[in-house]
Amino acid sequence: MQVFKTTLRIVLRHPTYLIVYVVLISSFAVFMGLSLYSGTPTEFTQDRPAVAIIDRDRSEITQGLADVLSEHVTLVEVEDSRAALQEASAKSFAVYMVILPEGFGEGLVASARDGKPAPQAETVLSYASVSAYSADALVNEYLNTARVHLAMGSAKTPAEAVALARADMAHEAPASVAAFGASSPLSQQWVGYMLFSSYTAVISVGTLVGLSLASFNRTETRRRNLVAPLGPSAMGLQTAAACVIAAVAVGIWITGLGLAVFGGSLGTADARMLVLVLAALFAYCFVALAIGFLLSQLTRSELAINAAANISGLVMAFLGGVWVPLSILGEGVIAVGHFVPSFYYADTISRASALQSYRLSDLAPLLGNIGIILLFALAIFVVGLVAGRVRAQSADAGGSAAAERPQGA
Amino acid sequence: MTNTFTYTLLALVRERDALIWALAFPLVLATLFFAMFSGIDSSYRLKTVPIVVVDDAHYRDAAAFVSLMRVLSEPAETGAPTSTGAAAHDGAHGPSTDAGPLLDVRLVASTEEADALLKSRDVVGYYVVDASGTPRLVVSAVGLDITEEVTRTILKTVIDNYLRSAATAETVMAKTAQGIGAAPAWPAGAAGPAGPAAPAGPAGAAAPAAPAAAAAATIAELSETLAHPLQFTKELRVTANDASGSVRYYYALLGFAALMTAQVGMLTVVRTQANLSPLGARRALGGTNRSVTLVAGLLASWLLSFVCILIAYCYIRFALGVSFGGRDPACVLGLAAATLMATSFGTLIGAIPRMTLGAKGGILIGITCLASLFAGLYGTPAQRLSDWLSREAPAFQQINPVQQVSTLFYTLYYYDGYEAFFSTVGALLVFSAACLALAAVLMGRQRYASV
Repeated sequence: MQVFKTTLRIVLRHPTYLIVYVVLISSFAVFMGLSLYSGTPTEFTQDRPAVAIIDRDRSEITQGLADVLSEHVTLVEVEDSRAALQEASAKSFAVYMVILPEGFGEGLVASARDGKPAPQAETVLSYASVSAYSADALVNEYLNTARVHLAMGSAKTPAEAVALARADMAHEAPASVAAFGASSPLSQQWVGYMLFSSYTAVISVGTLVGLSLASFNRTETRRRNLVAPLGPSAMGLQTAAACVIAAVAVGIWITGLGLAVFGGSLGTADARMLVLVLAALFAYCFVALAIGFLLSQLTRSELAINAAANISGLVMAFLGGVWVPLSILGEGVIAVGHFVPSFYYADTISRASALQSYRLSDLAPLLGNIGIILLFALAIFVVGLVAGRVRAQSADAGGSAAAERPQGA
Repeated sequence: MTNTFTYTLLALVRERDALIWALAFPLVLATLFFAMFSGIDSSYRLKTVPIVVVDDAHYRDAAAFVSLMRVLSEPAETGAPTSTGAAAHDGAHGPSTDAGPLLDVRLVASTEEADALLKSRDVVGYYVVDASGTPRLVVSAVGLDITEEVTRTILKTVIDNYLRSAATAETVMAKTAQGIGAAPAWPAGAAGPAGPAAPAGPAGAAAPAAPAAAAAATIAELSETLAHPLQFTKELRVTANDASGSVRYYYALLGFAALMTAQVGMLTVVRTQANLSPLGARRALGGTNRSVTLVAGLLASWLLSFVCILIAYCYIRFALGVSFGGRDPACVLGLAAATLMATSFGTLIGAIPRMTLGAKGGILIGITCLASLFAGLYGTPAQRLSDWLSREAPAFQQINPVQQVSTLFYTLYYYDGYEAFFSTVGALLVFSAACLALAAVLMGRQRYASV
């Protein structure tokens, strides 16, 4: 068990990576989870885009707009200057800003009573203009309603028109969330946390296992171990066992932290859903383990292993749709996504979070995904074995190539 | 000094591991971003929303709602679509997207059929009309896709608008009745095809026979007004370039890459410290003044970092065609300031006494990852978090070096003038000076009992 203990000791002798990659990055995942929707998934919720009103008119009509909009959007303050508007647009402080010019209220009254052209408010949109659609619809709806009341004579004054428009705008159509299964869907916060954790798994397990195994691949260490009384297979098994324990420990840490922070929101979810998500996580930890093994066979440099694990984690997180929904990306990206294990990890979580029954036909896609994740781990491991064999035979590693007689000798 | 500078630079160029962070990392990620996000801006624009409608007796009775569905699923013929996707309401059609109609309506015979489609996640939701003629939206549980919430909001907006128009019609009718002494009936489906109209059920009330002419005139006028809502808004562009959802990934990436070059500065300092590397121990015994060694080393680190990040910038700007607002000279100046900040920061981390190179590297990577998270590098949720922090805790973002570098490019892309840009450059220079001063204090106090 000496090799087993030594391997684990090497892992523990990298406290910076344990703190930064395991503790800190999983804390990021908690941050990300907490920033997501915290309500019950069975409640109907609407997008509440950040909207700013710049009211240069301050008439009754324009002031009534803020009251109406506040029911449907998140109103934010933006200073009335070009620089402030640019900043708000650049930094997405508001996805929709409406600028009501002086005389707007009077213009609307004149438009209603005398048929004059409608006054124009200017709007500034962020790049996410789809979110601005409902805000723009609300603004126009309110102004049209006030105008109708003034035009039809049901309101004699702008104040009356505002009051009637507000009353009309209070009407809302019924909406509900369909519940198909016995249990409620998984909490979005926990799901977001688990998705982000795929990155945690790759960089923490990949780096720690990579560094640990690379220590054994140093030429002198390898030569010393070759003449040790312990056979290569026994040594390999002990090393592998230690690495598996490190990978599983990271999986347990991620699981424990997630349940500790988001456990309260999972109360009504079916335990089988959780089990499926956690099975995907542990399968994914084996992918991270295989990546660490592969890196250790390719290089012994700490910085290179660290960088490669980071790049792998980022690339897989993006391509798999873990951080950016694949639905907003192109078909080509989705096609490429099928070649990374994170795609199947994200898909498993997505399917498990809305699972409605537990028949084999319903579970088959999820179990298939977990199987594919494990196959990815196996494939990466095999590549690592081949890379390791080539390296072991090289002169640099003190392999058989080093024993070759120089030409001409 | 020149010799020290030259040989430090040569030694750093041969340091392949450090160059992975400084050069390979941004190139790989930029290529990935290009492959992924080249079409992302179009995904932020309004597209036709597929919706299922239960085509039962209640739906067929609600003539106005049937008319609304028909209109919203037809492309606009008049009125150019606005940037929000809403067509000008002066024509006979409702809101539409850039590419076509607002809704893609699919009729199904029963609620069970609609449920089955919802369950299979083929659609976000469906409309079903109840006995009173009121439409209801039924959606699936919130998916992982954040755009789904926006889509369901649009679907809800359509039927909210429909019911509110009905409420407006009722109010007008009630007020008119007070004036003419009768309550005119709102005919089913009387509103024009432009969309929201009073449903027959809720608004329909029995009308007394007299005075019929006034009532008919009111109905005609109201119908006309509701059928042709006015467009009160028009889009204004206040920024130097069009708002873009993809550029922010590249700007955050450059911030991340710039801070990663701090590894080079850290490595240089470690190589000059006698207790951290054999090379440092040898150099400490050399005849060259220590401050000369440090200054030359830092200049070499900065130059290498700057060249690496400049290569990444040129690749992003010219090979990938990402826009930086057409202000390349200012971008290069910004990169120089950004790498100076990173080198200074690396120097500070490198100067921390009694800590191994690996530990310092880990700390640097940890800080870089954390700062990048809050700068919005890690996808859509991270961008939301970053926007929220910029709004609610601007001071925190002011001390986030990745955010500051990212802001450099934002100011050039979005703002007219250079005030905000130079202000950010100034902040980076102050940050650099503070790091160097602190590093000088740390290095000045180091005494080696044993190396």
